[in-house]
Amino acid sequence: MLRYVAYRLLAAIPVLIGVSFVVFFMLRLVPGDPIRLMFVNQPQPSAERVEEMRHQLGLDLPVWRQYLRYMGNLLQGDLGYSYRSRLPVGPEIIKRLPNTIKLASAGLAIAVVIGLFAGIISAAFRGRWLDRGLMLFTVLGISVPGFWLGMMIMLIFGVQLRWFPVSGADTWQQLVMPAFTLGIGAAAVLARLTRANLLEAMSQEYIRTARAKGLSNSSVIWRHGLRNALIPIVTIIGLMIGGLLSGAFIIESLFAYPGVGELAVKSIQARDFPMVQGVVLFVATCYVLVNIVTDVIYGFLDPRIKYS
Amino acid sequence: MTTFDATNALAGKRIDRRTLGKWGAAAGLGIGMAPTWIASAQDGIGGDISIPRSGDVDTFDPHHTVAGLSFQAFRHIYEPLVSYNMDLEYEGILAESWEISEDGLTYTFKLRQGVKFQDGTDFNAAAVKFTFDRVIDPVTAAPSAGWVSALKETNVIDDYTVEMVLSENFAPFLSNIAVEYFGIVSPTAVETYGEDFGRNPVGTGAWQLKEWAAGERVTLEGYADYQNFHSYADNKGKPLADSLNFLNMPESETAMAAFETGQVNIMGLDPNDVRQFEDQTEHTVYKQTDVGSIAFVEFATEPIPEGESGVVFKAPFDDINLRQAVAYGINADEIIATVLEGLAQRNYGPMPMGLFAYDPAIEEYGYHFDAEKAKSLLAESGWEDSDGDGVVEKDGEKLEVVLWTWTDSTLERVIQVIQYQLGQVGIGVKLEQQEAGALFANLPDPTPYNLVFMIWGWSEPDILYMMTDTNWGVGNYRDADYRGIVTEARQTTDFDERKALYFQAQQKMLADAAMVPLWTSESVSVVRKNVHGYKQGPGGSDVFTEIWVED
Amino acid sequence: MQIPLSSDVSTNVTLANQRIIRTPFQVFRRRLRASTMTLTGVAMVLAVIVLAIIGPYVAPEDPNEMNLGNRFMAPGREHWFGTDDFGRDMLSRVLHGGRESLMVGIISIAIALVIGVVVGLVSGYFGGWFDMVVQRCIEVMLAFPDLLLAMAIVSILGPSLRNVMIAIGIGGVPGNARFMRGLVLAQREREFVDAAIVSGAGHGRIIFRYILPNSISPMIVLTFMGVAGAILAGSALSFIGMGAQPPSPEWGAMLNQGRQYLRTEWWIGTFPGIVLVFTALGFNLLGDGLRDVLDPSVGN
Repeated sequence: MLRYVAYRLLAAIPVLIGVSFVVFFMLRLVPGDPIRLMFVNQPQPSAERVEEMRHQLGLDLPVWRQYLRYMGNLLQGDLGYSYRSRLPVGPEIIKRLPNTIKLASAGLAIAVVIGLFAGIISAAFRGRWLDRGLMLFTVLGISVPGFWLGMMIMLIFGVQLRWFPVSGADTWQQLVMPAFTLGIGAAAVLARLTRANLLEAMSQEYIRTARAKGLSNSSVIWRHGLRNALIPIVTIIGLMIGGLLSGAFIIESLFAYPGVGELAVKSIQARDFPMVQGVVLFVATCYVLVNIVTDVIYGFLDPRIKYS
Repeated sequence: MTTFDATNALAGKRIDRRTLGKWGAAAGLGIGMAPTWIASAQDGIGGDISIPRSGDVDTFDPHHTVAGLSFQAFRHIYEPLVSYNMDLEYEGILAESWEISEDGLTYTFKLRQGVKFQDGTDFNAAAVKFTFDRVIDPVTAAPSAGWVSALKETNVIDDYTVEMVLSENFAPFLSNIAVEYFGIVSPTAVETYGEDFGRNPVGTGAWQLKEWAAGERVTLEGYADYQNFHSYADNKGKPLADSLNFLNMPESETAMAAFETGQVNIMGLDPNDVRQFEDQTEHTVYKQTDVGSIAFVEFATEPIPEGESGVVFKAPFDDINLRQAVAYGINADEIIATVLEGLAQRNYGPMPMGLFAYDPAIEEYGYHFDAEKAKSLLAESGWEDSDGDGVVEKDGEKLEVVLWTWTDSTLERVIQVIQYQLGQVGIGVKLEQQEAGALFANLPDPTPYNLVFMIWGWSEPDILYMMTDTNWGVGNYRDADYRGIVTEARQTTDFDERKALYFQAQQKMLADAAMVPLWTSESVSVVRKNVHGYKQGPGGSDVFTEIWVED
Repeated sequence: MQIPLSSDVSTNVTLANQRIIRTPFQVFRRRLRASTMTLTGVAMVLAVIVLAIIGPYVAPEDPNEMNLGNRFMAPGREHWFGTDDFGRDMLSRVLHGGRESLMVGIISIAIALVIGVVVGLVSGYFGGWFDMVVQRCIEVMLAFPDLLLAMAIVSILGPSLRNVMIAIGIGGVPGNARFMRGLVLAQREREFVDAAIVSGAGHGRIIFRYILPNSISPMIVLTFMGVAGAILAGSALSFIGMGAQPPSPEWGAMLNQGRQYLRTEWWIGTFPGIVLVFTALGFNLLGDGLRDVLDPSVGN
């Protein structure tokens, strides 16, 4: 087990190096002089000062040496400085991270609860009106753009009914609307997959055996079907975290929710590239790690998989 | 949220005294409400003032930025030597009185005694000297230094007397320093924090910084020992509210929803949203004219060597017929009546309507919408639509241009109408909006764009000099005659003489079609009914010190 | 929240990807007939396609014609869908916008398909170090959440509908390439490929004669299931101003415009929203049917 985890972590290193490579060159491709972009709202520096800064930042070095330098800084936890606030990028992301984790977890929780429930009901009532109705809802759920859903939720529950505050991240009430917006789409995806996996599991030999033994429909679903269906679902949930992070980008902006996603959108709009670079790198790293965790949990749940 | 917020360049929102007659009514709006706070002041009332804004502060160091969003926040932390009263005449704030020498070269200020900075440092002549030395020190590279370019030195006469010596007669001087960009900073704090002063601001103002969560909110709290010297202030001490918060809400729908639910309680409105607030049961609407503002379209220009005169417009607008076609092709009245919801006044010249040097007679020299005239000017220069696609061509090349402006939902609508109107006369326009900071960084290179929609705001007619003294667009308009006139005007103290000179300068600029003046805009604020004691100071600026908020 | 291109359909297909149907067309027809939902999906998609083709010809007005005297007219006899804040006819804009939104879906998916197929084919067929390198690159690209990758690409290329198509297309490449590689590997194992190699057929002949024809249909089915996601991703980017630029009547851009009037002039944001959801729903229903074709063990 430990060896497997260690192996997966080692295998992630080349991927992460690749990610850093992409992120680094992304910034090189941006049109415009980085020094000039740093002096937005401020008088442009003199030519000598520009040269001096170019040297300080290593912009006069060959590209490969710039990359090494960048990697060196990165390993020391230095993600560079925002063009705008002049604050270091890393702490800025870390500061907002808890908000995004809260939002993504809440969204995920909503997705899991609603999604599993709807999926199980649907599978249990396979082919009946309840199943069809739920499935129609889930297709609708993945067809409604999240930003649109968010606007509607804000309008109805925030402005008309005034149940929840429309922005911010200080209290749990402020989390409700963005989390639901984020969670509902994911719930639809999950419900469909739960249903599909459950039905597949139910068609397996041992389930038929269980039925033949005279067990009731519900106990077949609970005792046998669900357990086996859950295993692939764990993987899906893991993969979903990436989707939730993406989704959070637009939802966070919409609700002025101070998370990493809102930071990314704002930085992209402000062309604050070190910040964009930092966020992209950070999110990608999280994503890779979450995938590893998912795989480990997957193995843990499925006794058929042995790590060696 | 208003257009003005994003006006990076010189967004000092002030007013000139000559405009009293015109704007006094707007400015006086809040006066009748003043006594409410007095009655309730004893109850230990407080509450939080919350204001949504489209963006964040970049620094609280008044000498390191000219961003409007920063100014809006730090103007509550620092105070200038001089400001305006409700009649829009100068009044002393940190200066008790002042004298100007006969030759206009020496300004002597008598300072208030017993004032302390928020960190306990004494306010005195040394602090004033420290501040102004810092502004004009090239190492500081203060963007506002250009507004006091005539300042040669500041001398301490005694503890509470300073003298400022100018190198030349500079009429806008007092007006230019009557703004918080020249607010007096605590020398101790600047020395203690060094580079970090921008995050640890210390001034003498009513509010001090409590917390700055970059990208989220700025929280200011009342300064306990504050002494309010503004003549319009009823509360002479510490602000009544517990805190003054600026919340980042880039999406205007979020801000409006937050206002409706009471999460924020004072808000600037886009013209587009005003219709939704007409029913004033839960809030009060205040309108005011951005007296010193002028909206215009300018053309991309190439920089010319320092000290030389002339102007190099980037092709195809090096042809005056094309510039005039743009001027004739834009129907400003239609834009004002529709997407601006009437919240602007047509201005035919570059002088903002609220300034004393504004003269309505300029209309005669301005460009009035005339699509046919625009088309014939294009045709005269050989641009005609031969393939029937609606866009004119010359030598096989289509007249397709790029218009830049900053990201703002009102401007987004304005430029779309301009795009359509110019399209009607055969000029194809592509629109690009950039975040304000990025826009101003990118403007000096004229390669990627042809037109800019711009708004400038300044309270001094010297704006006509300043706007032709940047490194993009009309800022590179260094026509010898024009520069001669506006330079002479800034050295002239007599109002009428100055006014006549500026009239002449405007005629010249319009004849050259160096830019296309459009309008002077108005802005609107809404205040929730549970906010008591809100009033507007000179020129419609918000006064926050007398507000208390009911739960 | 729509999770474009990633978790839902493709994952499930990947899980089931070892089962390749020999006669997809017959199964396809049989199963299509079987499901009302799928049929509804087919009808909706056809309606959207027809709309995109003929829309601009039947639109009553020029979609960009401003009539500032007629702003904010409620839906009625004169303007069925009302007018927007510039007095433009909303019906005409919605009809014109279909083409743009659909184009985003189709072109970006086509980019992802073509590049994904080529990369997956070469890497799966030849294997070796090239395969190694490609696999690592794919892993790196998969480390970026789709929308983030698209946003980053657009922020470099600049906001425009064309760049959105490129960005979403690139985002779809790694998933497609990986899926295609799996299909190619499965084909390589089969006897007729061995036979062809023994009989001395060249690589080109084997690829184009045997491997490609046998693996392309599940690939196209997978791709087709991504259309809805791509359309929604495109509209999301337009919605935050990174996609279609004014005066384009792209639906996402129209939603962005309309959201400011939700409370007062609801029709400006409602009609583009309805057609967008309708389109995505159609493609998703059809996609569900197609997945049943791919994986007969699941479904009704």
